[in-house]
Amino acid sequence: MGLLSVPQHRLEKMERQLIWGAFVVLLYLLIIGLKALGIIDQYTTNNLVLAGIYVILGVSLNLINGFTGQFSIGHAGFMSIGAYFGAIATVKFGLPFALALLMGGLVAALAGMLIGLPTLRLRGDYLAIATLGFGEIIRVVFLNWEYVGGARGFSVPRLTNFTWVYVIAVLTVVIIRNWVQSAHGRACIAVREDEVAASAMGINTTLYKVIAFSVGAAFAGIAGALYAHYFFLIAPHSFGFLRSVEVLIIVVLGGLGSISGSVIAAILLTGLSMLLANWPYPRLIIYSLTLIGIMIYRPGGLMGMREIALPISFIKKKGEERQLGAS
Amino acid sequence: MALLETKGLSMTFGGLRAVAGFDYILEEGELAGLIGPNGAGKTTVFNMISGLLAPTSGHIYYAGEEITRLPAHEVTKRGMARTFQNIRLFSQLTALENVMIAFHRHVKYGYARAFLHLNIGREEEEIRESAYRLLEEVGLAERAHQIAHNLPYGEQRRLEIARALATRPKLLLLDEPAAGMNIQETARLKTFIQEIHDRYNLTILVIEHDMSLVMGVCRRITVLDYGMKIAEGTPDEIRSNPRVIEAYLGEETADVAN
Repeated sequence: MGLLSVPQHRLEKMERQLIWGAFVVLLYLLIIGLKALGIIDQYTTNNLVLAGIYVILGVSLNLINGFTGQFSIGHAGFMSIGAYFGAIATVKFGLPFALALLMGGLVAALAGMLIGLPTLRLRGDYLAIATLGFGEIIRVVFLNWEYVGGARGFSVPRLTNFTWVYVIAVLTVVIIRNWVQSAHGRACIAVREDEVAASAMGINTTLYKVIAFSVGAAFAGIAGALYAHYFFLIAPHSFGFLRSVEVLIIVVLGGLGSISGSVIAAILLTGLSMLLANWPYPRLIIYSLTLIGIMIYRPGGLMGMREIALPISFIKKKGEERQLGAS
Repeated sequence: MALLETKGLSMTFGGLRAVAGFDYILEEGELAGLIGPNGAGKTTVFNMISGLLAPTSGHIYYAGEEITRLPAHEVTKRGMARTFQNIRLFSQLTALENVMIAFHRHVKYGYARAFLHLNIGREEEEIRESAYRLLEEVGLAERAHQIAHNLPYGEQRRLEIARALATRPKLLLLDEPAAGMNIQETARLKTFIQEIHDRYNLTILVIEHDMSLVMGVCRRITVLDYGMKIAEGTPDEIRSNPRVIEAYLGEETADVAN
């Protein structure tokens, strides 16, 4: 029977993966091609890199805020840890770039775990305040750490390029999507929906909160390390409260609990601020108006809790819909 | 052997003694009831047994093991499940997802495989199909893809019980399952509780206000008043116990006797 013996839904799943894979590769080739032709200039490339970094930050914060329901606003803190430790790895220890990214992610994950264990007992506003405080503490620590240049900043060679950012952004999306579509991801969602009921269903709620927090922090750290190795200089003020807010806006705008929403919002907002860069004052107004407009007309965010799904399947449907659980 | 046993279980909230030295034994296979007037401490007893509240003093044993201060998820892992007085479904998720989440303790694959989606397809399918089968068994199959929040009240109650069953418990604690139900729904619930008790070899402990449900379904009833056990016995014994009538039934006696 060959192909015919594969169940319909598996075939459809393979088809979906194939289409998405092709889309990701084609988009990459398109951008690289346009760059080679000079249609995408350096300025636009910088913004593409930034957009990719914001995709990583947005999707990873969505795991914490959107899927697990823990309101964290300290993402810039984790990003800065990744940026500094990644930079230390290459500048001070001469480690390869890939290892530096890994180190940035690991140290940030560790920080996430250390911060998460005590603070995740807090709920709602209290957790938000604690994570906000954490972000500020980290900033002040780097400000006073002479080893990494203190307030003057830390010069880092450019090792990041568009390809790195693109690949890692795609990996982030895939890995976090995989997680939220697994039994463990469902446990995170259960924590968001009702913590008491989740624990009564046998879910160790603290454990899943800490996992979400650490994994989110790890990707923020990797994003930070990518950032550090692209913009030549990092300084504590690059990772202030406003940066955390920007990421939060991406998550809320895209939709808490929607990965595709975060991706779209990250690209939209980076694009918007790029287009408006020449009009610095109207830019702030238009930016704010856009946000207000979306909050009024789409209070659940652009995507709500939905994901982009391929609407059509090219595989012929069998005579009747497969009945779930029918035996 | 006793499946569940409490010894001198007490809970104090500030100056209020919600439960005072509650001794209780539940044998395997029983379908027992716990009744008492408002504020008698019934739900507090449930919360302590299921690990949501740590008792001020006293001991809880489950299948011979002390579980007194274990967190709720550890208690669930040992084979105890519960429902809540004020329904606590994952209200923004579908009925099927609600039940799938409750299969949590039977998931075999680990975190790394979840991140990479490494060979989890078959197990995920099994979870999905077991969840669907469970919904079929409780008569909610056609609701599988509806958001839990949108289900009619009686079905939300039923879904909550299905979700508790998905953890595959030996002991099921039902906290006022008939609260807010009309007469027909309560009657249906009565048969439903009996059915699951027999079909899954469950031991069930029900807290209830609705007399017709407890008297009809439970073979042994314990009465709690001001945090203390004041009576225990068959429905008939409870009905005629003067202390119970005084403490709880009051003018309702006439209704109950019918």
